[in-house]
Amino acid sequence: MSGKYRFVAALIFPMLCLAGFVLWNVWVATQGQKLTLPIRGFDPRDLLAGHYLAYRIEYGFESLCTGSKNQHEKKTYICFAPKKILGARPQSSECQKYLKGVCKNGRFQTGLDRFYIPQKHARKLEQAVVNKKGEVILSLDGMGGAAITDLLIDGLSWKKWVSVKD
Amino acid sequence: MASLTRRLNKWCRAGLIDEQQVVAIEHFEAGQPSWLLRGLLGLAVTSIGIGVIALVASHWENIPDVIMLGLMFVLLVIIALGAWAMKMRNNSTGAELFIFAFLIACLAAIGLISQTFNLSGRLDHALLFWGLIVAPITVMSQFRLVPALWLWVMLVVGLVIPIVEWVDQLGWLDQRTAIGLVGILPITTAIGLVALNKLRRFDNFEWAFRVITVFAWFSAIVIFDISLSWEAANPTNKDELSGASLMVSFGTLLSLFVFALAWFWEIFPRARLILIGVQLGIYLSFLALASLTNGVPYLGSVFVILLFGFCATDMARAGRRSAAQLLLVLIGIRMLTFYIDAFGGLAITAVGLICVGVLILLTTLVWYRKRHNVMSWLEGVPK
Repeated sequence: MSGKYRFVAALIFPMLCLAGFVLWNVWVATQGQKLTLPIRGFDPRDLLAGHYLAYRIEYGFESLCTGSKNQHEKKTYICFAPKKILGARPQSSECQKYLKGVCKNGRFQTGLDRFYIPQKHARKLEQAVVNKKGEVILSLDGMGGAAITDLLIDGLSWKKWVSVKD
Repeated sequence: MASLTRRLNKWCRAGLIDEQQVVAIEHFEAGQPSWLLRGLLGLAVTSIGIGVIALVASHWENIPDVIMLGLMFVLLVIIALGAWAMKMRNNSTGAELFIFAFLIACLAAIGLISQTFNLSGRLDHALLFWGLIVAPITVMSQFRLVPALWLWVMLVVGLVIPIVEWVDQLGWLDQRTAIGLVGILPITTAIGLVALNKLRRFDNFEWAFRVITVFAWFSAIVIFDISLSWEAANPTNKDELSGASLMVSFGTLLSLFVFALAWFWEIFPRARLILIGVQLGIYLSFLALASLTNGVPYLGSVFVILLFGFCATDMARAGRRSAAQLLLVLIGIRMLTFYIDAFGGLAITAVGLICVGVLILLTTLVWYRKRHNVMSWLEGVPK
């Protein structure tokens, strides 16, 4: 391949990768299994970080990431049906609705603890989450990953909730 | 330019070059793109790029996701076309600026996609993804800035952070292991440096590796010195030795590997390799003492002086006068701090410094008289 073509290929390659990244996220958001989980702010004084809300998802597992063994990073899987905590990826016959994360310092970290919001609605939404009115809809990709598709306040999509509120 | 003109005139007066050559060289250099101009243009491109992205990000609520992502791809295509057009016109400065803008735009695109899909992954993972997708265009970049920035970011997110996480998963991440980790960094980057030196293709990456190796080497020495000089900085606890022992063993293996590579590929002449080998040995001893033992007062200064002394000799032999002078100044400063630390009083410090000065003088005189014999022996040339 000549230098010119290599240069063009090197410019196109990142764009193709980014397009693939977008398509993958669109697929997860639209095709994945949906799950609604409550959220709460872990530090009510500092729930807002720029343009997003930072929160903790309540997965509904009492013994998740507890014990001294979880002080260091440890890969963990949680299965929602039937409800159980696993140390390795479950077989499809064992569980189909599961989420992958790491236990670190007693917390289950999945990278799903952020929701981008417009700054003008930030305070209202922050207050609603602090008052435990918030939920998120997760779309599970079937491989342990997930995408957040919406933030619900009082059971309404946040966009609808702020329009009603205004 | 003024410095170049001064040197050209000096060479002209010495009869090494004639006046026509002076004018030709000055004319050629004046036509080269200025690093200051490139820097300012790069700053402008960065500022505009980040501004456009911030503008889109701040109005994202009013723009549907599809249009926002579409605009992002349009922007990427426009910048890519700009880079292509500059490349076709053989405008290397223009092409480089567009490549730089393209890299920033790709990083911003990852941020925008993350915002659109509420992805709260880690920053280092985003940077790693960015580094991998822009790697081909970075390799084709002609100036130093882009490959250097890319390489430094990738070393942190692709090497340092994964190693730290791995050590943390083993439960060995403590102060001693951290000292060991800092210690193996310059050895690791030296492997990249030796490999690129052998390939003789990616000069910009080789420069970036050299800069980061020197920086990591100095940082490691400062940390070893602090660790050895202040007992409180390095508490003894035998339970903490697992991670540090692993780092020292790994560092020794890596050093042997890089030295063997440099020896078999004949990266440097034999005498220089022997000098580097001596420095490596001192450095490894320093690393082992700093990460495995309790603080030993004054031992840090002995190692710093030894290491910098050999390194200054190496630099002087390689014709790198500024580097050798800098190292000698650092040796002087370390001696001064050592005496003040050891004796407290200025009078005793002064006596100590005079003694050291006399010692250096005698050693230098002996070296000057015997240097040919020593160098012949090192180079393996029969006397």
